[in-house]
Amino acid sequence: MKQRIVGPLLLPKTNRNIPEPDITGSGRLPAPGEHKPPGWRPSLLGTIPLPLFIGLIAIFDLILPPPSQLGSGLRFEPAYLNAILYTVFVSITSFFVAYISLKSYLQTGFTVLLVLGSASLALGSTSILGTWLANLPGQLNAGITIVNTGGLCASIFHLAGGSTTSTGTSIENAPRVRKPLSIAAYVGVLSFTTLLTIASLDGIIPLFFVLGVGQTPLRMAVLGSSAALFAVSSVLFARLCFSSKSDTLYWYSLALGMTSIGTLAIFFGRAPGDPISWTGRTAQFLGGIYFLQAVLTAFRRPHPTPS
Amino acid sequence: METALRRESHFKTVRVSEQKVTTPGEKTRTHGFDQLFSGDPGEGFRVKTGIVELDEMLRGGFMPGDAVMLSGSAGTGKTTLAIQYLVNGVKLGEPGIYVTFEELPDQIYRDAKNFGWDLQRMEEEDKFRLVCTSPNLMLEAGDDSLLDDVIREVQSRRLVIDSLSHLEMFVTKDAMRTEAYRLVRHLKTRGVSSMLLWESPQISGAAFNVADAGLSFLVDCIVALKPVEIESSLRRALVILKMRGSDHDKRLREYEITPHGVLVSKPFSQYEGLMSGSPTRSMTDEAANSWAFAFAKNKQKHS
Repeated sequence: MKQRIVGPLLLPKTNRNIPEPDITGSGRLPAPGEHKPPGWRPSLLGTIPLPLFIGLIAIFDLILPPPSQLGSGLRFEPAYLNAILYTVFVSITSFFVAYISLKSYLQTGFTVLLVLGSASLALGSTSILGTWLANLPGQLNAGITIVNTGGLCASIFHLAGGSTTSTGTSIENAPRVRKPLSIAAYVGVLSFTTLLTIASLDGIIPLFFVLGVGQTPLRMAVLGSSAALFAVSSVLFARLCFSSKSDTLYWYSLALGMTSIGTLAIFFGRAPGDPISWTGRTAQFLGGIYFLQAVLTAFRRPHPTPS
Repeated sequence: METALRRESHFKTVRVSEQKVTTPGEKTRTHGFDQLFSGDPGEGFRVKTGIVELDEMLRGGFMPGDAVMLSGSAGTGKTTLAIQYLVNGVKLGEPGIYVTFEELPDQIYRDAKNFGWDLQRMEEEDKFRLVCTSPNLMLEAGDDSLLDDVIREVQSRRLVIDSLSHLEMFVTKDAMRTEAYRLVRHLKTRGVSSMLLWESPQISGAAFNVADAGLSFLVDCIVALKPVEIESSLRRALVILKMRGSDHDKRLREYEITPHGVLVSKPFSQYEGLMSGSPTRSMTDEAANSWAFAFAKNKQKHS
């Protein structure tokens, strides 16, 4: 038995639950002048180590004897310690940056993100390979070659990324090419690391370091160039962070600055494990922490979606 | 007699070509259950919607003879998708019938034409019929369905009812299930793949609300259309909630209503909580977005 509606025509049950906009309470519009955007206050604590490390490097450079006269008491180089520290503070943090850069590139298609991701991948992969290889007997030079060349490669990528970001000329790739391009870039970097490792182990690359003598001019050129390029990249990102008030850029530029100082310290170092080396290494490890901090700020402070 | 008069005044079959009315004995095709269980996969093994991505989601199309519920709130494009399904059916050689309880023929012709679908021409070619009627007439007809003549006339393989929600105005909730069951069964016995439109009551909130009237178990397939708010914009999601006897894509996919009809695109892979109507991005995606904003976008914003 079907039931019929009697009396006035009832409205259909559909569409009756559409909520009315809330015009009271938290939904009200702010009065003119009421809304004040919060000011940008970067943590100045992060900048303190920069002059501190520069000062320490300068002091050690003045007081330490030349490599040939450096006593064993001035060297501290337990097996694997450096490799472990580099893995934790440089490689892993670099891989985090490479991952987040890759993910954001796949989302947005901006090539600068792929360049920065490649830089981090180069730094991370060469650091982990080079420092562990350096612990093998007779492979100190190979390890140093890999780490330093990887650092130069990363600094070039960072400079490219920094200048592109500063000029706002990053190309936006179409969604269909993003995946193949990112695979090509990352596989390319890892292939470079592999080839570099093979070439270093085979002794194809000229010497970077001779035990008891010190670093070669080639290594000095590579380290000097890396330090300079990291420093310029740091300045480029720092300029940008002050105009955009971005915490991510702030920590990223500080991380690059610390990496630059760390590389510079090794440039002045007498031998692996001397006080200047450890000052530089500590600066690089702190740089790794700053890279991680930059990634964490991205997790903590979501920005609106780029349109 | 009175009923017949009322039927004549309310039940309008547009361009009924009386000369071509066929009786069941004159059928030129296998029909009804004979066709469904003939074991001939041929042309009807899957009822393609003609929307490539949706057919992919359905693993080739709807199962033949299935009753499909197309659920969605106002403005989600149910009518557009339903007409597109029929138009594509005509292109694939499967005539269709569109039964509407709410819109007038001219309005439907006009709206369809905006998408490039000439329904009147299809009617002239006896590949399509538009039926405008009222739900109570349909209910009165009982098993002697008003649709039978039209189904026979065009040898229809597809039928859309826009919408089942209108029946709800005339019957109680319990009777609604009975009527819907009768209708679904009736169309199935005639070998017609039916698409029943169902208007979800709300445009936001957690539920798709297809189960409220207890209809979800009556139909073989449920395709739900859902508006979702993403970054202060209204976007549309499509999901197959149920498909009896077949695997199907379980992901929510975005769709758009374009000048050429409904276009189904990629899944909403970066969002969580889409069914709630207010999805959020996963934490990593948010961070990646923020990272991109810092490095790639803010220079453009501030320049």
